[in-house]
Amino acid sequence: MRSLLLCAAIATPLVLSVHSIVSMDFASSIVPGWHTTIFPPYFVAGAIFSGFAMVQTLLIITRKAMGLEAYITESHVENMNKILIATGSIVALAYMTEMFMAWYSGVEYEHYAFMNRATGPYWWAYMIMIGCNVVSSQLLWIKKLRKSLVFTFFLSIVINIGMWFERFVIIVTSLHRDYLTSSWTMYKPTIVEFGLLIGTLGIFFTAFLLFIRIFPVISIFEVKSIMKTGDQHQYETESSHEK
Amino acid sequence: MLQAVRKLLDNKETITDVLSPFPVHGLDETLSIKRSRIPVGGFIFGALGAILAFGFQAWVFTVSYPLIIGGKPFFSIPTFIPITFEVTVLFAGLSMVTAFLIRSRLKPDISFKPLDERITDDRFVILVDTADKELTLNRVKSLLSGIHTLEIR
Amino acid sequence: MDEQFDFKKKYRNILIILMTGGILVSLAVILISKPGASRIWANVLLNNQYFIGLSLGAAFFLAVHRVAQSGWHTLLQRLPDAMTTFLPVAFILMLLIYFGIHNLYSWTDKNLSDKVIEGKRAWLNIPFFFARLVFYFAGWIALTSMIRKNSNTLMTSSDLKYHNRKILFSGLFLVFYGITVSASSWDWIMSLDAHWYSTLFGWYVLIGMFVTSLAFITLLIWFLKRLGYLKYIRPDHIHDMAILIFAFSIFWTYQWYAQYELIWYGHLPEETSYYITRLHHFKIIFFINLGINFSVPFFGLITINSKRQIGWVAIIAAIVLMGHWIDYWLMIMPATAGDKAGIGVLEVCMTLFYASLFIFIVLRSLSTGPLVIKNDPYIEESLNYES
Repeated sequence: MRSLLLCAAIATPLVLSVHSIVSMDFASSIVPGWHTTIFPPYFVAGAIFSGFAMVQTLLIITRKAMGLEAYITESHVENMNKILIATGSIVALAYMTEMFMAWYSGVEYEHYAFMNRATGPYWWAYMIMIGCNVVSSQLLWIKKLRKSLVFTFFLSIVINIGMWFERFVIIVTSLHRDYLTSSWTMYKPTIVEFGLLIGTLGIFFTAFLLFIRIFPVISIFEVKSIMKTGDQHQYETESSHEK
Repeated sequence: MLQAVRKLLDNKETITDVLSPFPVHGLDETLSIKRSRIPVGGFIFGALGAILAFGFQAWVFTVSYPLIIGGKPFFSIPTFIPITFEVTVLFAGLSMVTAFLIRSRLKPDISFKPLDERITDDRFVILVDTADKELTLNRVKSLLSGIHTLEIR
Repeated sequence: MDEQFDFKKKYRNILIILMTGGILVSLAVILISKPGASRIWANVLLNNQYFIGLSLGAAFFLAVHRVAQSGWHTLLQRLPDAMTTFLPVAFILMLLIYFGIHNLYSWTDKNLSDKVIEGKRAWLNIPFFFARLVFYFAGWIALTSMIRKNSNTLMTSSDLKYHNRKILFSGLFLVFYGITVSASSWDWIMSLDAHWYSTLFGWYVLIGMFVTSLAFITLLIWFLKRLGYLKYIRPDHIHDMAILIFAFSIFWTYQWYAQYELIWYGHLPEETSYYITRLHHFKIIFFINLGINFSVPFFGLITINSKRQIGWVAIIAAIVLMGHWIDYWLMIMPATAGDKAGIGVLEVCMTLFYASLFIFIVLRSLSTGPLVIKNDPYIEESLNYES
C-alpha cells in the first residue's frame, strides 16, 4: 500500500513534467503561435483531457469484452466524465487566453498567426479542433449525457480526434507561415507520415492488448481495500472495534 | 481480526506475521510495525540525482564542450532545470523500486509456496511463534475462543 | 459540535486598534516622508489584490472540493465560507482605485502617443476597465453568497436539495472564476506593464491565490484550536491541508519557472522588459521570493510527520503568506513605484490595516453561526477521516 502511494507520488510529477517539457520544446522558440508562456500547463491539461478520453474508450470496450461490468460501474464512467468536462473547460480557457493575448500583445506576427489559424487555408482543421474539444466536451454538463455509456464512447473518440487536430493546428499552422514570407508553403504529408500515425496507434493498442492479456486488468488488492472503508467508525468506537 | 491480534498481543504471544488479502486498517499500528524508510532513501537518491545532473550539465557546458546555443551564456541555470528535475525523479523512483525489491527479498527465480491458497482470496492468517507447539496451541485456542475463527493449527 | 465562535470584545478591540493604528501611521508616513502617489496607490492595489486573492482562493477551495464530492473537508467548510464574506468590502476598496488610476496605469494617459498602447485601447480604457471590475465583483459576490445561503439553509432544514444546489453553484462559480480571475489579473496587474504580456499570468495569479488561501485557512484552524474550538479536527485533516499547501507551492514554482524560462530563452524585448526591471533593480527580493515560496513549503512539509503537527504547519503557512505578499509586491511595485519602491513603514502599516480588517470580517462572519456545518451528508466521512 505504501509502495503504491510512493509510486503515485513519483508518477505525478512525471506526468506533469513530461508534457511541460514537450511544450517547452515548442514554447522556447520564437515562432508566433508557439512562444506563449501558457504552454506548459495548457499541454498538461490537454494531455489529461485526451488521456481520460482514451481511457474512457478503452474502458468501455474492455469492460464489455471481459465481463467486468460489476467492477467498472457506470458511476466510474460518470466520474471520469466530470474530469473530462473539467479539463475540457481548462483547455477551452487556454484557447481563449491565447487568442486574447495574441491580440493584446500588439505584435503583428501573433495577430497574423491567430487570424491565419481561424481563417487561413487550415481553417477546417481549426474548426474541427474547436468543435471536437470545446463544443463536444461542454455537452457533458447535461447529466443524462454524462451517465450514458454510448454517448461517452463516441464522445471520447471525438475528443481524441479533436486533440490530434489541436497538435496538428499548433504545429502546421505556425510552421507553414512564419516570419519569412518567401518560405510560406502548404504542408503535404507523405506516405511516411501516414505510416507513422497508423504505426504509433498500432504500437499503443498492441501494448494495451498485451497488458490486458498478460496481467490482471483489475487490482483486486486495491479494490478490496476500498470496499472495506464503508462501515468503519473508529472515531466513535475506538475500543470496541468489531471485525 | 484486529480483535484477535490485540488479544494475542495482550497475552504476550509473539506474532511472527499476519497475512491478509488486502491491507487492514490499523494493523500496522497494532503490530508496532515501524514505518518504512524507503521514502528517505528515495529523497537521498533524488537529491543525489539533482546534484549529479546539474553538475554534469555545468561541467559539459562550461569546461568540456562549450557551445554557443541561441546566444545564451555557457552557465545558464534556467536551461539546466528540466534535465535536473527529470534525473531527480528518475533516481528517486528507481532507488525506491530497487530498495523495495531488495527489502522484500524478491529476486528473479525465487519460488514461494503460499501457506494456504485461500489467503490470497478471502481468508486472514495470524502466525504465532511456537517454541512448544502443544502448549501454545492450547493457549491460543483458549484465548481466541470468544472470537470467531475458522481454523487454528 | 454545536459550538459557536465567540468573537470576544478583547479580540475585537485588538483588531480595531490595529486597523486604526495602521491607517494613522500610514497617513503619518505619507505626510512626513512623501513617498509619492504611485507608491501609495500601488500599496492599495497590492493589498486589495492580496486579500481579494484570499477570499477568492477560499471560495475556489470550497467549490473544487464540493464539485469533486470530497468528504474530508466538510468539517472545515465554515472557515473558507467566512473568508468569502470579505468580497463586498473588497469591491468598495477596489473602487477607490479610481482616484489613483492615473498614478498606477500608464495607459490611462490619453495624450500618450504609444503605438502599442493605442492598439490595446479597445480593452484598456477607463470605462471598460470599471465595467469589467463591476462585472467581476457582481459575479463573485452573487455566486459566493448563493453558495453561502444554501449552506446556511442546509443547516436548518434537512432537505438535500440545498446540498445539490450548493454543488451546482459551486460548478458555476468555478467556470466564472476561471475566466474572471485570468481577466482580472490582466486588468489589474498585467496592464501595469502596459507593453508586456504573458499568457500564463492569469493562471500564475490563480495558483498564488489558492496557496495563500490554503495557508490562511490553516492558520485559522491553528488559531481556533488554540482557543479550544475545533477539537474534532484531527492531524489527519491537518495532513491534508499540508499536502495541499505542499503540492500547490510546487505547482506555483513550476508556473514561475515556466514563465521565467520561456521568456528568458525567447529573449524577445517585448517580453523580457518585465524581468529585466525586476532582475536588475530588485535582485535580492526577486530571489527571496522564489526561495521562500518554493524551499520553505517543500523542505518544511516534505516528511509525513511534519505535515501532521498543527504548530509546524502553521509556521510554514505564515511564511508562505508573507512569501506570496512579496510575490505580489514584485508584480506590482517595480512597475508603478519604480525607483521609489521599497518595503518600509508604509507597506507594513497598510498591510496591517488590511489584514486586521480582513481578520475582523472573517471572525465576525464565523461567529454568526455554528462552527461546523450541519446536515451535510459528508459529515460522518469527515469525522472518521483517516489520512
